[in-house]
Order: sequence, then structure tokens, then C-alpha cells
Amino acid sequence: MTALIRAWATFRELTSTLVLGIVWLAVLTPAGLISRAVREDPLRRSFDPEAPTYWEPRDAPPSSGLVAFLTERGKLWLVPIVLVLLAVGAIVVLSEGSALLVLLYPLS
Amino acid sequence: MRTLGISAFYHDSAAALLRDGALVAAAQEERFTRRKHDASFPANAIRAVLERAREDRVDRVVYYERPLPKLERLLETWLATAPAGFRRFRSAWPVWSSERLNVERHLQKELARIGITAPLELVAHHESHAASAYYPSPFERAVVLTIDGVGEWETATMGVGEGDRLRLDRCLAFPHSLGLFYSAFTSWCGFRVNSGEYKLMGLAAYGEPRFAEVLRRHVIDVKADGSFRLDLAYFDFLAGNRMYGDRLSALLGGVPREPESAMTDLYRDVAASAQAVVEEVVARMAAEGVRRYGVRDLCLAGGVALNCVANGRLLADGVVDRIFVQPASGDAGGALGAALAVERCRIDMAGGDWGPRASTDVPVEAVADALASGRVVGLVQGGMEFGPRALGFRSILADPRVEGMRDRVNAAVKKREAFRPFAPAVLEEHVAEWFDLAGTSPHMTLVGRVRRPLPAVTHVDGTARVQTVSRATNPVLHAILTAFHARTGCPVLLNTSFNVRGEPIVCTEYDAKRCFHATDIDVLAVGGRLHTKGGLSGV
Repeated sequence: MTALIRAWATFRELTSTLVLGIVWLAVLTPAGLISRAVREDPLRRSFDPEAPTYWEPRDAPPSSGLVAFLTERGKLWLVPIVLVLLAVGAIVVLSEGSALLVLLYPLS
Repeated sequence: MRTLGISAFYHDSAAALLRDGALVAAAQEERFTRRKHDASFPANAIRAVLERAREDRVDRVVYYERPLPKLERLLETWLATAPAGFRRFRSAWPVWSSERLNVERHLQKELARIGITAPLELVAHHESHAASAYYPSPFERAVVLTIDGVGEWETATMGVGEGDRLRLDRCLAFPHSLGLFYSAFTSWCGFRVNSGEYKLMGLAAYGEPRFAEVLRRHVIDVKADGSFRLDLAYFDFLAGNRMYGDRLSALLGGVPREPESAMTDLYRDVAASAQAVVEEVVARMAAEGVRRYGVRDLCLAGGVALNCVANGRLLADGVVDRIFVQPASGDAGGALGAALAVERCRIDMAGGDWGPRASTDVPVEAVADALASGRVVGLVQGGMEFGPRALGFRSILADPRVEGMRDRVNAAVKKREAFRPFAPAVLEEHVAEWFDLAGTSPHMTLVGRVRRPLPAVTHVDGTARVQTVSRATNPVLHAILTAFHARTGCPVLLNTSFNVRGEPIVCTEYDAKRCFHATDIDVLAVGGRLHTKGGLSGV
């Protein structure tokens, strides 16, 4: 029975990785490529010898609520990505707390 | 009004309780679970602070971080590196989507489990740090500087505190982080990230900063006002599973050190170079704060503020007049800071003993006798310290004048690397005779030059991380020092945390006795008694 549980855990690991991998390649990678092509780098990954300072002004406290927050940040286009990620996250997490596992434990 | 501040889920979980504008208790979760840097929900710490305060409910709870800006930062990082970085996404997202993003609901659930139902507020990570540095400081007006690895987006902030108002108006943002810069070198030199940074700082004194110029030219671009950017080509923390990149190794002309392997000059010099850069950045930031806000007192918090060598230089070089460093500068102090950020009250942290209390009954004369005859003494008395330093409440003490004492304490209990120094505790009224230290350092946050021979607590560069002890805030340690002074003419003791390597500082008498019997500590003073290995002695 322990072997069965271990096999199930491995299977669960693998399916989680697979599902997250699909999202990574199908959603985040193309979105990342596009964002890098059309936007300034949000991480500001280059030195700027001309700039007198790298200090930035601080933003006012952010709104609570995902949509209000992203609107404020001018990043509404992130909403569909977040929704897809949340759906996938829920699937992965639900599968980890699966009913099947609960059934298997007392048998071991 | 009772305000409970919480830090959790990233590094050191902790809880702090303010009541009617005063700090009543604070503690770190690791001390109860005995897991170092425990980051789980601090149920034990919350119970302990409520018990010490004799409260069973609170009016509001404050958490030290906002999840939405952090989500934005994670998304932007993934978008900036994909297709690289999948492993980080794989490990982060399941827990983020289920627990972190809706951290309020998650926290409410955990709080309800231990019987706490109160409204929950969120405060930005660096605002928590800043509040933890400013509100307990003795200054009416001061520059406030926070520097750490990363909060939501922010890695450093600058502002000014005045009266009960605190305003942070400038910041640096991820991935440009002095904390992560230092951690990368910590890791490159074979120490653990988020805990081995002290070791890098200790190691730095043995090396020459011969790479500092190369680092400044290629790895970090520092402006005159202390703001900086990192060249991410030398780091791998955005998409990889390491802090440093292969290009950093190429630049330094060596390979990263295997943990626990032999120490060589290369790593000593790399440590010295990283330390030199950090000191320069901190000094420039502090000078910019002084210029910008027109005030010469400084409050510091955030993990980098635990770099007491850099702090000591700010005073030695006259960058600022006075300095207050939050003793729990890391994430544990974020719990206190979150509560202070909403309460906005000036508090006095005094001795630093804000945790669960042990008896303060200590056979002082017998302890001083044991110390004067060269014994290593474990001491448990009063409230447990809040923050990483033992301040004489959960401490190991020894005679600092004895040449081989450092090795003895190391062999007996600490089992630390030989290059790491031990710190001295000194009677506040005698500090000037023994150390060059501008002002007092009750929480062991400043470094000063040692003036008289104290081999066991003097670092290779002639300095020590000093704790000044006053009668008002730590009467027992003050009495022990006074009695030791009367016997030996030396008002200084070696003071190191009461734990073995890899374990958190002891909390209870039970922990202390367990540690005592598992190690070669000669004498244990706890609960009004002096225990020796042969049995009880003294009163």
C-alpha cells in the first residue's frame, strides 16, 4: 500500500508539472516574448550612465482587489493571464488534496 | 487598543503585541518550534506574546506584506525570463495561488484556529521595516533607511520620521537589491543564503578587497547618492535555482566554494570585496538621506541593517551623528513594524527581552566566581530576546581576556567556523575605556575598535561587535559584569547566543538544560540555581 501511495504521489507531481509546464509554454512564454518586444523592461536591467540617480519615487498605497490594482498599474492586460494561472493553480492544488489520497491512507 | 503584528511565510515568522501605545511582548516562532528561521504561521509565538501580556484577544491584526504588488513582481519576473525560469514558477505558483495571493483569508483561518478573530490589515514590507526602525528610536526627527533582499517590489527605501509621522518617499526596486547582492556572494563563498550572511561579514575581515573595483565596474553601478543597479548577467536569481551566475565565477577567476570545504584567500578576498561595496552603498545612502532631509540621525532596518560592520563605519566616518538599528532588523522585526506602522506610536525597546519570561533569580556572585576561574557559563534569565542576538537573557558567557577562550567556547558548544568572532558585553559606564564606540550599542548592532587586550572577543581587524549593558535595561547581566569587574578589573564578558550550531537560541529552562547536557558548557545558571556537570551547586 505504501508503494501505491508513493506511486500516486509521483504521478501527482508529474501531472502538476505537466499542467504547469503547458501553461508556462503556451501562455507565459509567448506573453513574455511579446511583452519584451513591445514594452520597456519593467525590471530595468541595464545600467544608465547618464541618469543622475536610480532612486524612484514611491507609489501611493495600492488598491486592494486584483482588477482595481492592475488598472491602477496600467496592466489590465495581465488579468486574463492571472485568471488562467489561478484556474491552473486551483486544479493543481485540488489534485494534491485529492479524495483518492484520503481513501488510500487508512489502507496503508 | 491591542494590535498584533505578524510576519510569516517567507523567512523568520514572528509576532509582536502593542497595547495602548507600548510594546508588551514579541517573539520569534523558531524559538518554540526549534526550527531555525521557521517561516510557518507563528501560532506558538502568538500564544506566547498573548500569554506574556495576559490577554486572550486582540483588537486588530496587522500583516507585514501586501500580496498584490508581490504577485505583479512575480508575473513580471516570469514574463521577463520565460522560457527560462520554469522551475521557479513550478515551485512557487501552487502555494501562491492557494495561500499567498489571498493571504488575508489564509491568515484569518489560521488565526481562528487559535481563537483570534479580529480585523486584519496589511502593511507594505518596507513600511513595516521602516516603522520598526523609526518608532522605537530615541530621535524626534531622523532619516529612515530600509535595505533588504526584497519586499513586494522594493529592495530599499528612504524617508524621514518626525514625531509620530513617518514618510518614505523614495525606493529602489527588484531585482536591484543590496541584500540579494550580498546573499549571492554568501552563497558563492559556500555559506547558506538567508543565514550565512554573518559568516561572510566575519570572513571579510581576513581578506583584501581586491575585487571591489571590478565589482563596481561590472556587477553593480552605484550612483553618488547610493542608488544602484545590478547587472543581472552575473546573477541567476531571476530564473535559476542559484543566486550567482557562471559569469560571476568567471569574473572572479575561480569556482564557487563547496560548503564546509577548505577556506582559501580567494574567498576571503571575495568576501572583503562584497563587504566593501556594501559599506560604500550604505554610507552613500545615509549621506544622501542626511543631505535630503537635513537631519543627522539615522534609523536603519531590513536584513542589511544587521551588517554591524557597515553600521559602525557610518559613525566612525562621521556620516551620521547617531544611529538606531532595529535589533530585530530581519523579517522577524517586520511583525513589530507592521503593528507600529498602523499604531504610529513611539516605543522604547530597551533591553530587548520581549519574549517568554524565565526567573530573574540568578546567583550573581557564584556566576562571577565561575567566570573568573575560566568556566563557560550558560545563563537563562528574564524575557527571551527578540531578534537574532543574545543580549544576556539566553546567553553563554565567558572570560574574554583568556587567549584560548574562543576556541574553548567553540569546542565546548558553538562548533562554529574558527574565523567567526564572538562579541563582548561591557558595562555601559566603562565602555570608553575598552572600546572606541561612538554612543551606546545596547542591542549589539554596532562595531567598534577594541582598546585593551581582549583576545577572545577581538576580531582579526581589531574590532568587536559591542553590547553596552545598563543597569536599567538588564539588571542581572549588569550585576554579573559588575561582580566580574570587582574580581578581575575587567568589565567585559564574552557573550554569545545560547545554542548549538544549526539550532535556534534556547527559549525555556528545559531547552537550556537539554543544551547544557548535550554540550561542554561548564555551568548553567537558571531558575535561581547554578548547575554544574556534577550536580547542583551554589544557592
